[in-house]
Amino acid sequence: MRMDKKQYAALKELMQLNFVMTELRLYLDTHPSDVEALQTYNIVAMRYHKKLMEYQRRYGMIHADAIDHVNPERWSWIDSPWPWEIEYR
Amino acid sequence: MWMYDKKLEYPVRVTKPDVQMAKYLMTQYGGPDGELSAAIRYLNQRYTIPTNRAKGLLTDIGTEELAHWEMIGTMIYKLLKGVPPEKIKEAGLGSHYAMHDNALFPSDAAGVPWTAAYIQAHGDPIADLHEDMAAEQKARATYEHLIRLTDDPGLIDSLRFLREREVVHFQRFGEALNYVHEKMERKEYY
Ligand SMILES: [Fe+2]
Repeated sequence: MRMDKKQYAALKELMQLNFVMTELRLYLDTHPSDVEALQTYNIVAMRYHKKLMEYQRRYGMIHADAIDHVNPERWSWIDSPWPWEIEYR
Repeated sequence: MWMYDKKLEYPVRVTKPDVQMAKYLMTQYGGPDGELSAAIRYLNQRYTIPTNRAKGLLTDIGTEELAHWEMIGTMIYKLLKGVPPEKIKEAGLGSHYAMHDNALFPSDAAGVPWTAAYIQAHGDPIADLHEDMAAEQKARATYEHLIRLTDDPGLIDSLRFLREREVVHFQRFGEALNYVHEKMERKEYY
């Protein structure tokens, strides 16, 4: 499925932020007292959660336990694009 | 527990359907050094590993491997999407089609189904972490083979990402292993 440009850019930003968190999480597992890495993790995590909320408010749920804001009469979880069906560019 | 996120860890761009490449990629979907093996290996070993660092690592890398399994699944799905049975047969996936149509199935590139015999758990942190490090190198080598088997720039980009992750995982498991050695020298256990 072809996503509109704005939504795709927003999704891509979420993927990038979340990947930075994945990378830092593994690093912190073996360097739990690296204060600088810990601070960076928290800064990125705050930004990710803010962007995730904004995205889900506009385009529907992508995290399974999110609040469903989009339409009070329709469960958005099943309608938001499935990751394997998206046309990545 | 796990919660699903409706996004891939990294984009999977496939320029055109390619049954032959889908067949080769199956080794990372259900083969010995594939992402399913990796995820199950780590998520299964973590219960008895002694250090919190290694518990964290096995949990988090095991979870990331599931996300890689999803990326490989997405590649295969896209490469086989809409391909008619004659084309599938021509490319050597006729027996896959007979059993699974265009559906995915965890088997290796030769159609051998996934088995738990691909993985181990010794309950010994040195043995387990060495197995994990070897597994990461085998997956890294497999990604290099796969990159050489395609000329699709989108696919190469995603495969390079996955190859790089194996290098990072190897590094982290090595650090966890060093920490286990340190603890043993300080006689904190054994
Ligand atoms: Fe890995």
